[in-house]
Amino acid sequence: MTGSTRILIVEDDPAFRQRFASIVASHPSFTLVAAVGSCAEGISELRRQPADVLLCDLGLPDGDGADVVREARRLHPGLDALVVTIFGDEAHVMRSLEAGATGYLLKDSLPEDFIATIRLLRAGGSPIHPTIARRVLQQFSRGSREPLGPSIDPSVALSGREQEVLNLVSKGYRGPEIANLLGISHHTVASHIKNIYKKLEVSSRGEAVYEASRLRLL
Amino acid sequence: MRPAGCDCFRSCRRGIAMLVRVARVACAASLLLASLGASAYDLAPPAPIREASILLTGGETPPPDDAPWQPLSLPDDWSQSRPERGGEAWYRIEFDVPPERVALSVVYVPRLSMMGAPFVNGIPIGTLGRFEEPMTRLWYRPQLHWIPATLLEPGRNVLHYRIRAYPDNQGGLSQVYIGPPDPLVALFESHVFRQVTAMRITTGITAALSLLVLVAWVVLRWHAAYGWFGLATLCWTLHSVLVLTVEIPVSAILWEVLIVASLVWVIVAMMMFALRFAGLRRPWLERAALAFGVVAPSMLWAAGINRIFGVANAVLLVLICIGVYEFKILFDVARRSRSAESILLVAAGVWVLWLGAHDWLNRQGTWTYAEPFDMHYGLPVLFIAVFWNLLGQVAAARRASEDMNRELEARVALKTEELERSHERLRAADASRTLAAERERIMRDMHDGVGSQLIATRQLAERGNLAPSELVDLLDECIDDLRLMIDSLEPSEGDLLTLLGNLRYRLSDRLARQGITLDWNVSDLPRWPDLPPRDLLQILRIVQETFTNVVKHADATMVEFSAELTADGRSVRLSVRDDGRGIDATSSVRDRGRGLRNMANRAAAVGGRLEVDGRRDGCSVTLWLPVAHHDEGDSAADPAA
Repeated sequence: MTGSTRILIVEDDPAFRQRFASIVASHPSFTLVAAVGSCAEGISELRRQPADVLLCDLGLPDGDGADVVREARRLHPGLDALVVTIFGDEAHVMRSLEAGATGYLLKDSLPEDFIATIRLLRAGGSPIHPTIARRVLQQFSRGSREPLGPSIDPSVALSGREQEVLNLVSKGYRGPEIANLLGISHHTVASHIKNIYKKLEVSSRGEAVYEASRLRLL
Repeated sequence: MRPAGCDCFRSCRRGIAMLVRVARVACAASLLLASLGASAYDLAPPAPIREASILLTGGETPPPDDAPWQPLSLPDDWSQSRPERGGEAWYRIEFDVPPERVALSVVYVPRLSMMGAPFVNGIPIGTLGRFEEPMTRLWYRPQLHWIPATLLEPGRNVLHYRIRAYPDNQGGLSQVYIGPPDPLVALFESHVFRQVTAMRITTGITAALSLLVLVAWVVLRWHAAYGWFGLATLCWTLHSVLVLTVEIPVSAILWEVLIVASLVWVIVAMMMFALRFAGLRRPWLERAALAFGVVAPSMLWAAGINRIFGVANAVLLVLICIGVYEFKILFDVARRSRSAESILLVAAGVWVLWLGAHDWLNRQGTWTYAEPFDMHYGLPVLFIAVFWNLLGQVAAARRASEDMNRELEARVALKTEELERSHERLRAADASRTLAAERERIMRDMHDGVGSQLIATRQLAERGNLAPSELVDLLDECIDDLRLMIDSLEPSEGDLLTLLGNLRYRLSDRLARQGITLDWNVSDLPRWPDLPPRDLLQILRIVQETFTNVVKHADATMVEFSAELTADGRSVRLSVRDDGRGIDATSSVRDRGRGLRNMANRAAAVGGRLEVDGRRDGCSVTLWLPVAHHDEGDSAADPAA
């Protein structure tokens, strides 16, 4: 089963859950691990069996989808977490990215977009939007402005190229155009985005540790 | 630096507090000491010798026995027995010595004046001091002399006393005690303690007190009353030192004038103090008293050594009168305040008046010649009582200022809290106003956009003449508008490009499905932080509608979007250009015309201007937006550049 991508769906709305499940089922290279409707079920499924992709709604009846994402990333470091939002508004997306998600999907996406996003993720890329790019840039520049802040660690600072990519995304340019403008391949742009998300996750974890130590919780 | 100043002030206050405590303890201790002195032990004296004879003549050796001695009875007070008589005289006293006492006898004279020297059987014993000017001042000093054993014979012996005095100055000789040292030495010592040692002690206390008060007055800038009080204590100290001095360094007249004058100044200064202490001002009286402080010494000086003591008696009488007036002032204060301190003050005042009267009468020979003068037990006690009162006032003032500080601090804290609360209210009101405005804007946007679109779609669906794909398109438009609203609500900080980019990300798939390629061509735009969300939404709506038109009507293969700042830097140009059929060639000209009018209105609402160029080989829609404040209006949206 190495060729098949195992997908776990956590979505409380039965209609959407059904829709996502049928999209996954209809595709030959995807395997549906489970389709559940709550945080608790999602986490217990993750503990029971591995998954390659987690498709998770943020607003779940018994908790925050970001917690499921965080737990999934902890249990299965190779897992790609994809959060589902209705509008792609930046506050929700940023929260899930910081929890370790590497992508997000609009609920009304067409099945083709749906499949394309999962494939992009598995291929090492990540979806992004201009507002998210801008917010990520702000997040990192704020960290570097605080002299005692956690983001001073160079391993979680953005590289010059990553900043360029984000800058172009924030102006509305898409992957192929950015690749063209920067003279790099489309795939490199995609992996830049995924790296940026991972740095965001690490830096937000560092920030949490920093905050905790500042508050003498650690 | 302010903190240092603060520290200095605080330590100064601590210093005063310490001073007050130390001084209070000192007051209590000295009162106790003074009372000990007053109750000096009182041994029964051995029988004094009263029989004597006098010869009014001078000379350095006793006159012979056959001189015209006149018998008299001791004590002999010249002020009574020989008014206006000054100069020298010899007393002759016969006494018997039992054989067993020949070896050890003393002569004790409680009082003589002004200078005296004893001779036993014609031989001087222990002559100290001078008879010449300035004469040694033994005016009020008990004398004890040891009689050398070789001078005495069993049986009859003779004691001669040489005396020199000034007229009317209580010159003369008291009773004479001759006998064993015990108990005469004890008697002598008790008298010396009461008349001399006690006075030295109280003088020391007064000196310390005056120093304390005057330093406090000068350094701490206390009230003028304290200055007068300090002056009074200082003058009393001077007076006591003058009285205690036996070997005077200057002429007798100067010394005697100073003795009385210093007492005058004590009383005058005390009057000035009492008036200020009571919060009274008597300008005429004060001037008169000060004048008296100058005139009285002048009169004394003018009287000369032979008449000075008569004048002094009158001056002292005036002082007693002033003292009574001072007592009245203090008594009124005490009656008003009824505090323990002021009652102590009145008691001390009564005590001083009593002693003053006693001493004055004593000068007039009212009691025996050796009756002691006791004012050194009086004024120092009064001074201490006054000082106690002043300390009480200082302490009360300090407490009051501390209380006031506390109250002020409390009031400041209260005001701060009130201010904080009113700020909080203002902030809350501000926030709720902002919230209300924003809510109203969102309602209006929903009404204009997705709301009316949904109603229209519903009506079309109701009529049933709507194909499913058309329904999907209409609903897509609703969702698009909803997304625009959400975008416009993001805290974008005026980053128009990012929001346009979002729009592009959403539209590009739709364009791609229609086979339309999008050429995205944007350059950096200035930040637009004060662009209100409502205007942002209008701009996004114009751009979205333009793209929707391209997708729906233009039949284009390529569309170019560009955003740039005009060369003059005063406006932003957003333009959408397609290679489609152009406006004129479209089928539903009327509908499109209405749509374009709508867009133009929206452009005007944000202070911008819309330009539509519907050529045959495509359509170009350009939106000019002023970069500066929207109020500046059309002038900024000059298309000429």
